[in-house]
Amino acid sequence: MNLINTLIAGVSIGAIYSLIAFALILVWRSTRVVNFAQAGQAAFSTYVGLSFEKAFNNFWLALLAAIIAGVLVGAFVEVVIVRFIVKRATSAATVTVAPVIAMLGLLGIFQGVMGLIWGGEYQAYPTAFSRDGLTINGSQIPFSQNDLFVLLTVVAAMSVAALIFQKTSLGLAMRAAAFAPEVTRLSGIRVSRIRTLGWAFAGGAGGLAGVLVAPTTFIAPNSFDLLLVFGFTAAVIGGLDSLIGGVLGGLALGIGLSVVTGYLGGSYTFMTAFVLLIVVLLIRPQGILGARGARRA
Amino acid sequence: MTLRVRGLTIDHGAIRAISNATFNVPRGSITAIIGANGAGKSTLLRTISGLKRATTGSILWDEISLEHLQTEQIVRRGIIHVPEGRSVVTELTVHENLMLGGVWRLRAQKEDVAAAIEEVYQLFPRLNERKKQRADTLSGGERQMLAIGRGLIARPQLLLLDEPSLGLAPLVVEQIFHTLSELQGKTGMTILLVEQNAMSALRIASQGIVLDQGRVVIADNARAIMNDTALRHAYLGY
Amino acid sequence: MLVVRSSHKPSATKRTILALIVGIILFVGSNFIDEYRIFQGAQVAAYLVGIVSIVLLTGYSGQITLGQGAFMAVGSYSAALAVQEFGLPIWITFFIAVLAAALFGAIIGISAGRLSGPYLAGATLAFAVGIPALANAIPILGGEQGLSFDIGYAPGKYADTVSPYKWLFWICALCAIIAVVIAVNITSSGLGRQWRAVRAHETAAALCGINPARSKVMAFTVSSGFAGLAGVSFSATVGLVSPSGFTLALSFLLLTGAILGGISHISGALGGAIIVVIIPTVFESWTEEASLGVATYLPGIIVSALLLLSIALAPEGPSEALHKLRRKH
Repeated sequence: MNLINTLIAGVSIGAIYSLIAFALILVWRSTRVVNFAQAGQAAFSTYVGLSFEKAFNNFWLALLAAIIAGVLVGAFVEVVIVRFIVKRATSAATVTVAPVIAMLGLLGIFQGVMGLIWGGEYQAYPTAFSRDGLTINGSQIPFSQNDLFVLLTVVAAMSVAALIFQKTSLGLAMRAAAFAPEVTRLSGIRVSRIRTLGWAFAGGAGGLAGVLVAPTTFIAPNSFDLLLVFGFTAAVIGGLDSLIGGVLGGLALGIGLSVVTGYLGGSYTFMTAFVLLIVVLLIRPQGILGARGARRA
Repeated sequence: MTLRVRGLTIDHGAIRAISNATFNVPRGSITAIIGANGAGKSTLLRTISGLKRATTGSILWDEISLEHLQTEQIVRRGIIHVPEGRSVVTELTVHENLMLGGVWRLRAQKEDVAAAIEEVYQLFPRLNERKKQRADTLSGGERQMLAIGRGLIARPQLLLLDEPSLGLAPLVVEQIFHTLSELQGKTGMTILLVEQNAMSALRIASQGIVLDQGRVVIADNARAIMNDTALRHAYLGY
Repeated sequence: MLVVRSSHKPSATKRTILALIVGIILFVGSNFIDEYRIFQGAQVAAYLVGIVSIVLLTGYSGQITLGQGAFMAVGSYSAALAVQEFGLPIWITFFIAVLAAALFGAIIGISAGRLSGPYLAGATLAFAVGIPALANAIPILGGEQGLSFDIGYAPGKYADTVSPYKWLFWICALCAIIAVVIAVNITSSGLGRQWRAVRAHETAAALCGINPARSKVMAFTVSSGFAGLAGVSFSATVGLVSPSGFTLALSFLLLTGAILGGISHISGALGGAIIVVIIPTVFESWTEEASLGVATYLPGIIVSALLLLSIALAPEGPSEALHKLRRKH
């Protein structure tokens, strides 16, 4: 396998890591909580998509349903659970630990509920496009129509997000609330509502990522756990505070892991990601693209 | 419109920050709250702007009590708090920081927000020169100007300023206080100024309130406080 | 929580005597209980040690861990390898498990000790997700089937009279009693006070002459040693060391037990261990009539919901909340 092919093979999965990293960073910026339940939220949204797919046999309707489900679940989680937890956990010893554990509890509930509703076995998720490699100059490359679709969808989603963040007053409020919630409140903005929106957007991104990745990984209640770890790694590479950093981190991780898999074999994929995560955390804790050493939080 | 504070008590956990404070801030004037570090000055402002809740007592603005309103609702009533420490959003540009001050009324009063931003640029020309720069590239004095400017975009009726002189060079303090005084004269807004730098604050204020360990010990004409040597020795340390 | 409570706990000697009495009661008591309950007792003992390891790390030293199952795996695999490759006797492998896991914990701790909050959580989570996959990839560890780990029968003439379950229970209970005594001694020693001081206020602790980084690495090492012991006990109850034994779910289950029992006190660990062992079995018997799905997933939902509720209502753990209530009245 030549190098170019291995690089190409990592792009579309990297785009999906970017999407998960984006969701984690959005929540982190709005609430200073790493949403480990995102794996459950994304899987739940994907199951909703699958139900629509089965009922109406329409990929696009299912995609839309999954995104909307993600948005609703994200907002629900923030309003009903996160708000309460963050308000309660105020002492130095609990402020960082309690939200993390709460998110794990939530992940457990999600996975259990999914198991009850949809069963525990792996289910196939259909695609709208062929998953056979494209042929260029008579030779097949490890990049399919579906990979192209994934890549373009993620690019489109990110462009919309960038437009919202940079060009609208909502985006301005979201960026301000991420870095200086108190000043933002004193500017007359309902920061709690901004926070809910952050979770909703992140949930939508998770739902989209789920539908994009499910044809490859299949869908089961816990099938996105590894995706979450990769997304977290990508987010940390990017610096956890920087949306662009997270997106680039996801692409870099996807391509990097594809190279490792191509040359050393699939069993080293996870090891590489884990070592990468630890190395980045230790050597450049602010992330490759992060600006400041704000790792204590 | 007068701000009336009646029997206000504020606790920080087990510590009483403000104890049974009663005073008025007359409309269209500058009132300076002075006192040593830890006298409870910042806590008082944070309670007026709804960031902190009072234990007992009432805060009335325009005969409406504020103590149960959310910060955002208080802002919408024209009470703008510029907190301590040159509080700007360092990750945003100068212009974006000013925009932030007007986001809540952008839909209804878009033109007026733009006009208010223009006025701030005229008031602080240095900000205009740096409007595309990120706020963390500004000097301390420029950041304070930006923080005050962000507050002005809301066209405040009552401006709460917390230690605008903190950590700034005397010349810059002089300039900022001069601008504030002029601005007050022009717009007729009410300013409640919290300061440790008592001399500078009392010079532009018409009324002074001296806090000591959470209690209002004096509320009087600013000039009278400045001239009262015994009082200055006892509470202001000079 | 800046004030580190001074406590009037019994001395080390008294604790040892107390432990001996508990041991004798369990030893005698185990003859009057049916086999299934004895097996559950062994499970409780194994989980108890695992929960103690989390309480030490998260409750006392303030470092969150979502990957305690990974340290258990390290202990278990080293023990099983020691038997398989070197033919060492079983009782020595318990020490090997503790040492291997502690060594591993020290290495991880050196890197993790510099992380806090969500970063530490994420790193340990990655660890927990990755260990089963890693074990699968290393041929000597036996892949998906794993390695067998059989503690066998009671020695000599007791082999016929002591049932395997009872023998298992005695070993696991002995491990648990020793672990708890050591843990309590650690927490009431200077080391434990250091941990709590760093947890409450790192800078203040540093100003008192404590080296926070060293204190955190130490906590990781000690906690991992306990986790290694928990792992080998756990594998003894299963009779097998395999990747599927050390899933993320195990780490979560232990954390849940630690939180429900009360993360800030060793004393809560027993309650936590009983809860995590009993809840699934209770539901299994209740839902026998119901569908398979309910039996499989309801216990997980209940345990997770309990975890969430307990964090929401008492962020510092139920025992801490009770302490506060008592102080109020």
